[in-house]
Amino acid sequence: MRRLLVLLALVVGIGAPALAGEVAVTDLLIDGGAFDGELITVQGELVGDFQRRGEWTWVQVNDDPYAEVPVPEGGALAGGNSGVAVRFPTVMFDAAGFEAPGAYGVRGPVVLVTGEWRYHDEDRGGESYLDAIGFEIVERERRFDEEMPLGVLLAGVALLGAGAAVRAGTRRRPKAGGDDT
Amino acid sequence: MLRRPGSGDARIIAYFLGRICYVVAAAGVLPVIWAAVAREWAPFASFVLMVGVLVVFGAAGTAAKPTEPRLDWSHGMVVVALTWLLVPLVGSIPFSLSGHFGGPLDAMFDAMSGLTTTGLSLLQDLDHLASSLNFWRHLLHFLGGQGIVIAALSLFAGGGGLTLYYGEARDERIFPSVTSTARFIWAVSLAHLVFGVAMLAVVGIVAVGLDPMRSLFHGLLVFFAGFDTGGFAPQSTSLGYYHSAYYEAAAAVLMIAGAMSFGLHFALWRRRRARALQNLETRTILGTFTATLVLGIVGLATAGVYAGVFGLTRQGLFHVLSAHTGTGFATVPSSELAGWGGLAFGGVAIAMALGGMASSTAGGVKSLRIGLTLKVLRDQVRHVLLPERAVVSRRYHQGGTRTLTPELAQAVMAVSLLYVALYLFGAGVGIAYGASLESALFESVSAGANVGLSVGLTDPSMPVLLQITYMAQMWLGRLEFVAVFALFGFVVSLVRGR
Repeated sequence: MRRLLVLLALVVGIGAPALAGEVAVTDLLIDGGAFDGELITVQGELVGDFQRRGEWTWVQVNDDPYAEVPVPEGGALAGGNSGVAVRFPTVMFDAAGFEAPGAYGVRGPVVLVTGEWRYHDEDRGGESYLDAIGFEIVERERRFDEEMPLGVLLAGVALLGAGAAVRAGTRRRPKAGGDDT
Repeated sequence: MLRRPGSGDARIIAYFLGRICYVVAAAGVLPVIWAAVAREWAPFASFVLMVGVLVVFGAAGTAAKPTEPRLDWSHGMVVVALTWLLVPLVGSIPFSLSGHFGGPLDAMFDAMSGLTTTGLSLLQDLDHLASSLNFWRHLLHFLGGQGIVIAALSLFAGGGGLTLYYGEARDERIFPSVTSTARFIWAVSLAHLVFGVAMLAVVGIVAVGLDPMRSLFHGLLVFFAGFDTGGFAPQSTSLGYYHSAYYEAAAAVLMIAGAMSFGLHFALWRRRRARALQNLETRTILGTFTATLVLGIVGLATAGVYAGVFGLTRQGLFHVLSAHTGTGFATVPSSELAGWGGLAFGGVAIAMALGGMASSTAGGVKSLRIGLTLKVLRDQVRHVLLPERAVVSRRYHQGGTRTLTPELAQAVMAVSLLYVALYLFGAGVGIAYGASLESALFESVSAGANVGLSVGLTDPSMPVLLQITYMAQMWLGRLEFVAVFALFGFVVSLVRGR
């Protein structure tokens, strides 16, 4: 059945089958067992790395507020990240043509992923992850820059200069020694 | 009568602090270069500022030039205790300016956690953190794990090495000279660096499916955190990010190497395996690891957390190993770890409290003290059971045959009790803020034993007093009390001395 759904997802493009209710990542982290084996949908940002392992591609999906605006882009602080692993069929994942996952300088692609939640999957040594059968692209990746704080740089350079001046001023005085053993 | 420290004492302390600041400034150049290469200009500026502050401290300190150049025991201890406050303070500047922390105290919490190789973190939005800042977090593990003072000793031969060496909670000299010992420690670490990063990078490419450059990046950071039993990780889901038993196994090799004393490294390097296995410390850690592993796995099995043997052994083994070595890597979220409960929870907590080997990068009570404490207890029981005239051997094997003197037994018991008090104190503060006994004790042990596993109490919204308590626990636990007590004594002498 799962293979059929994957096939279906591939046939209709990259649209996620509207079979499942949306679940917050926090709920999966707090009580993952409650969703074991269920078809669920998670919306979030793809972050870190696209881990391509042949038939499957693993990516972390975060649904925290930073999926909207990351901290370096000016996003407000809202606690730690909140993410789960998603296993995509590589063929399906590559069809989306993502350029980069979320990282410094990149707000990663935001996707709506549907899949089977596998809690403590024994076939994978007790790991928990979402086994994707389809996904929708909500928003493409967005690159951003963080400006150099010139005042900070100048203060640093000034301190380096001050340190060098103090060092130069005391250089001629005799060195201290001590015991080593 | 207490002697009030004079300007001569202050000059000696300032001079050696200044030298150490130069060493840390040199290390701080690495993230400057990293940020420049990665074109991360905001972190670049903050790293320049940090290095600038360190250079000024270095120049001002060394300009003090003591008239009496000898560094005595109390000076050395004060230098070490202050170093471990000053470096997190200055090292937290880039964190403070990054915008990823709620304030300077949160930033210093992470710098202290990094340097003491604890791994608890208040950083927010790690998954968008600049790579240079991530590198600096992990480099702090490396500096702290190897010992900043060890770094200074390696570079500056001479200068009161012995007291600084002992102050940083190392009590094993592999060579007669402390400088040679310090250089050996760095040689071992650099050899592991090359081997460890290469191993993790290859496993990252082959088993995890990372791009080669990203795999190298992850390998370097995970090496720092694994070998130095730190516990920070490049991504927010710790080692669970990789979803690979192979990657966990590779990290485990480094965690074990990090928890081994450098004396044991030396014995293995000299192919003295049999002698290494005879050591009381080696036998103790093997025993306590087996016992806590059994507790953990039986606990997980009886609670039905994992359905099969593979999941049970993989998760149980990894977390008990992570706890016992003081690393703090996790493959499950903290909310799930908190839900383990019962025996498994207890097994992990006990493993954290016991810690790794003495003179290693691990924290906790340490196996040598556990072994000696058990020997004292066993000898006492023998005394009671054997005839009055019977002689009970007080010898033990630790890099040769040694005698357990009453003074040594007393010192071992005292430090062990101090650790217990430290764990209980932190737990008490946690409970006062409404945490359950289990959670408060777990988190307190994690901070005091410099582990980093968390059940969620360490959070950006945590109370300031609890935050300061955990920072103090990390500092005390890493320096094994003596240097910190010496600093307190120094301050008391300043106030009350004549």
